[in-house]
Amino acid sequence: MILSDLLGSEVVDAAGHHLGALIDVRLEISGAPHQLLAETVVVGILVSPHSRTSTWGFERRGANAPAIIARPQHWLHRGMFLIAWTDVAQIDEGRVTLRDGYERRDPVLASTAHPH
Amino acid sequence: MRRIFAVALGILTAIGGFVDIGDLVTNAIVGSRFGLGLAWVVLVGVVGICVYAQMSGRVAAVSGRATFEIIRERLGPRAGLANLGASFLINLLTVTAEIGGVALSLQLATSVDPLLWVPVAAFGVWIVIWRARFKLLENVTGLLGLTLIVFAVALFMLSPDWGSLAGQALQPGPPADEQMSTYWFYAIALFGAAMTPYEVFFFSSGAIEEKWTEKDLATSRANVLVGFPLGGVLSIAIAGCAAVVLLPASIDVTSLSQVVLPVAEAGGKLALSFAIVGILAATFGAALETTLSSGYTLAQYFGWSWGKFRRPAKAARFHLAMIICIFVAMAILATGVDPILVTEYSVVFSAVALPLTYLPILIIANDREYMGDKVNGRAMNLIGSVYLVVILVAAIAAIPLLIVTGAGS
Amino acid sequence: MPESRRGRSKRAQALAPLLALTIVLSGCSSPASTFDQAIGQGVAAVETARIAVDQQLDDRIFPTTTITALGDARRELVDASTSVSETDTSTESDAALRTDLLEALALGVTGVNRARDAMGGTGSLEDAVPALERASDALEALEERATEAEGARR
Repeated sequence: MILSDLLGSEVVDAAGHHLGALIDVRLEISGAPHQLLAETVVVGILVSPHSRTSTWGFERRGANAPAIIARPQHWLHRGMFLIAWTDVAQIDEGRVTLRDGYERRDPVLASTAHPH
Repeated sequence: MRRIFAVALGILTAIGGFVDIGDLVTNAIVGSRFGLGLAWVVLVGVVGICVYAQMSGRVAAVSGRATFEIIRERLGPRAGLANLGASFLINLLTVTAEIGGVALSLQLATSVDPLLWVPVAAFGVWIVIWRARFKLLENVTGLLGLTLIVFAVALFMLSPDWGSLAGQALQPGPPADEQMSTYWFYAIALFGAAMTPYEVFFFSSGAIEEKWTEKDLATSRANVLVGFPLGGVLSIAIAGCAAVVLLPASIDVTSLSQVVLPVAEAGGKLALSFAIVGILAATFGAALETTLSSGYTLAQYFGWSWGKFRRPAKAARFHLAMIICIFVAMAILATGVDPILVTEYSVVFSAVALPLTYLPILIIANDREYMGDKVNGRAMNLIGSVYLVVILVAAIAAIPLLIVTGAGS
Repeated sequence: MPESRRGRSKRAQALAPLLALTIVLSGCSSPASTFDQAIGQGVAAVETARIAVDQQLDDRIFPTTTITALGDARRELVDASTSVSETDTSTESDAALRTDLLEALALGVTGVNRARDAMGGTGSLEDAVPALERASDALEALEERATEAEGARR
């Protein structure tokens, strides 16, 4: 499975209730440099309740310029939250199921880390 | 001293490089039908291209990434692919128009059927892209394109009634025998011609080809901010010539031969030869730029190695893609379709595609991760946002106006 | 995913009538507007040829450019005659206008051909001037007639 297959998947809780759409997968560079790329670790998934479109990078802290794009973007992705990878129970085609008792985390990323 | 020379050369090539078949044809058509009544659009378009070209140059120089790498990263794979598809197809239409323009200008010099010139023009474009150095091809076509200044000279030699020309320019609106919808259709066409997206692909990719760093930004800004407005003046001069000679004779421009008649009227054979050389250089230069742009967009999106600074064997897919584009353009022209018609459609569809290019640039120019402290300032964001709205309105209105006006007929 | 697919096909269904409408709109146009357009096209072509011939007689233009301009003008004239020939009319006056318009456009073609021939060495270019003037006069007269007819219809 490649990451772009996941994008746009419906995200549901353990009981099957609709939560939103998976709009991005957050990776973290763990630091250990390899031959081509540094080792990356999946941190979690970004879930947006109202839109399946990309955030265009506006999920990060301080990304609010220009207002003409940032405002509609923030509105479109209002209520967006981050789910830790450990809270993901199952991944099917087009559907991601979360574990019982998953935690909605703050999606805003400190601007130093890389979101991809 | 070398610095000054570099800036001067850059400005001169920017002037010559601003005008392409779209600007030539659209300005002449508009001049012959509306006089200078749409000159304001050129002004609006020039400011817009200045804003976004220097923004994309800054993005390329600071982040080291060209437009389509960014589009893919920021829009996600699906929207990015849709953007690539639309931008690429419209750029291909522009390639076709430019190669057709080369054939038409060769016809003016030889009276040989343009269909016979098409393969020659296409081969010329290919061999230059394959063999010539980036800087060389940019400078030679840009400098030769400067001979288009003859249109400005011709306008003075025609000693027009400046008062009435100024009157047309200052009181915008269609003349009595033209419809409002046609007026706005051509306004959008002219805007699309002035702001053609390929100029931005080319500009930002060129920045990477020439390995710009932040130090080169001042030079690039000077090139853009001086060169493009002067290119806009040339555009208005082309419209002015048509307004003075063709409009009173009720000649609506439909062919390139009509575009040069005012120049011959004013300055005879000498002026005409300058005009033909200028048109040939401008269209050939634009054919190179658009062909390279189609290679750039594909290669940057799919992550192929690209660039004229690599030998063709090291960027095989990049070069193969361009060869295929040239062949497709040749095939379209071989059907006998009028290149002027292709040009008219290409500028209108360019207007449709404008947001696809300019929106991502505006976004990334605000991204601290790429740009550090070189992100847009408030003023730049304000004017960028205003233009984003203008671009969106033009893009949305373009197709309905195309249909309602029957492509301006 | 299936939801979104259904949404897409719904959108396609909504677009279909719009597409049909545009095809209908662009397909039908009245004889009057076809004639107006053809007159404009004819005037532009004949005037272009006149300017090119005048410049040639003044030796201000390259023969290659003159030949190109004349060829372009002829293509426009032929194009205009084709669209006029293919127009149905429903009134006597429209039918008469069609006949006269075709005649005027043919005059233009004759003038342009005479000029092209002269450029190729057959006949003299001066002879093309009166022929083009006649075509120009005929088209101008038709322009007035069409404007009057339009005024009467309103």
